[in-house]
Order: sequence, then structure tokens, then C-alpha cells
Amino acid sequence: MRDDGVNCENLQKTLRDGNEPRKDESAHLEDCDACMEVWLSLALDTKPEVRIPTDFAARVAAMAPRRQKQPIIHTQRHWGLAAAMAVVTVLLMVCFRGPAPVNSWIGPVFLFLVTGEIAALALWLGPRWMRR
Amino acid sequence: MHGELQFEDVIREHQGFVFRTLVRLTGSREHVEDLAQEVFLRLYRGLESFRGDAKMTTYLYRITLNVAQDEWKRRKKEQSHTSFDDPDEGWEDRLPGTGGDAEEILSSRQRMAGLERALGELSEVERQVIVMFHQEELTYEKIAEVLSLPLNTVRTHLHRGRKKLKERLREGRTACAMTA
Repeated sequence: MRDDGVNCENLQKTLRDGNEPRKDESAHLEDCDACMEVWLSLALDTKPEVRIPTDFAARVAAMAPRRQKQPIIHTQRHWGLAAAMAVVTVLLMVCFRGPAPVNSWIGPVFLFLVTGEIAALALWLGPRWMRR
Repeated sequence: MHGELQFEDVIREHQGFVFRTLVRLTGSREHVEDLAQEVFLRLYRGLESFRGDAKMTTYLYRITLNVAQDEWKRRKKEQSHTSFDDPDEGWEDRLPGTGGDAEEILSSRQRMAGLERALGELSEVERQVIVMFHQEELTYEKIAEVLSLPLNTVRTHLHRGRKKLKERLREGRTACAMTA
């Protein structure tokens, strides 16, 4: 209770109940920090009433651009590369197996495979490069 | 999120928050529907990167604040704060209670208009924190996440904002008394 005759507790109850303060209470409200604090919190807590058109959600959803499905990209399998890697692996295993006898078949076979592989690559990639 | 229908549900669920926040942060109901539409279309563009609902709401809050901020700046540039000059717009719709005589109601309206004006004079971040904390009842943690601010900074902005509001309300009353 301040000397203006207004009871703070009563005024705060009035405000919390959602009633308008009287003229003298209004004057008190602006001078009393505790009452102003209550009024301010209540005023800020109050949600503004907004008028949302009933079709707002449907309208905006319809405006959203439709998402297109990502096109499926069929990537070619690299059979040539896999075959080349397999051949090189086999050749490396054969080469590093140990000392080869003098009249070994490994040398000619190795040469034949490497030559064959280069020829195959040329046949495989050649037409593609020609088309570019 | 797939399809138009689910997006419509998302809009329905959050449209209240978006409209209310835009109204309070821009201080006007003018163009609020256009602004809300902009918010949801921006959300739609970013939807694919979201898996959890929590992240989506945080993103939605951020977009709403950004759109409100842009609008606020635009209006400041145009210097057309119609709602602040016009106490009949905005706050009167949410005056609590119906009791009291005409003079009491008028006094209450003036106080509310003063509060709206004072809100408009706060810094952007203070206004955002106050609206999210009081009106939308978000926690400090959520506000900190939305604004990418430390928790204590959010508390400071809220405290400082409220203090400024009270000061401005008192200053406003003094100014009114002097002009009367």
C-alpha cells in the first residue's frame, strides 16, 4: 500500500483477472514498479488475435513449386577397367613369384597380355574419343 | 516431408505462431498475410534438409524473425510506421477483459499503444527475445538456439528489454502529461 490509497495486491489481482484498473489505480500503476511489472508481463504474455484466412494453408501449399523427382542416372559399369586391373594383378603375382627358368613361357605371355590389353583399350576408348 | 498435403499440415500447425509473431514484431497487421506466405515459401525451399521436427521449427522461427526484420527495415526506410501513430490498430484487439467504463478503457488503450510504441523503439534482438519469451512461451534454451546466442545473452536481452520498456512507458506518460 502506497500513500495514494491504492492497494498493490488488489490492483495486481484486478489485472490478473483481466479487469480494467480504475483511474486512480492507473495512475498508481505507472508509479509503482511492482504493479507495472505485473501489468507489463500480462500485456506481453497476451497473444494478439490474428485473423487467418481459412484457405491460407491450402493456398500457400498450392503455390509451393512441386518437387521433381531426381532423374535416375544409369552409370555404365566399368567392365574394361575391372578386367584390366584383374589382368595386371595376375601378371604381378606371376612376375614376383620367384626366379623364372631360362626358357620360361611367362615372358611371351606377359608381352602378349600387355599388348592385347592396350589394343583392347584402344578399341574401347577410340570410338568414344572420335565422337567428341 | 513429401507432397503438398503434408506441407499444408505444417502450415496449419505453425500459421498461428507465424502470424502472431509477424504482427507483434512489425507492429502492424498490414501485409501480414503476404509476409506469412513468404515465410512458408522460404521454409518449403529449405525443407529437404530437415529430418527432425525440432530443427524445422527452429528454422521456421529464424525465417519468421528474418522476414519480420526485413519488413521492419523496409518500413523504417519508408518512415511509415502507421500502427505506431495509430493507437486504434493492433493492440486493442487483445485488451484483457471487458469490464470498466469508457475512461478506464481509453486509459488502458493508451497504455497498450504506449507499450507497442516502446516495443518498436527496442533493439531488434531485444524485441525478438521479448516476443518469443512472453508471447510464444519459448524457453531460454530454444531462444538461444533460434538466435544463435549464448543463454546468458538471451537472459540479458530480456532483462534489458523489459527495463527499457518500463522506462519508455514512464517517459511516455510524462510526455503525455506535459502535452495535456
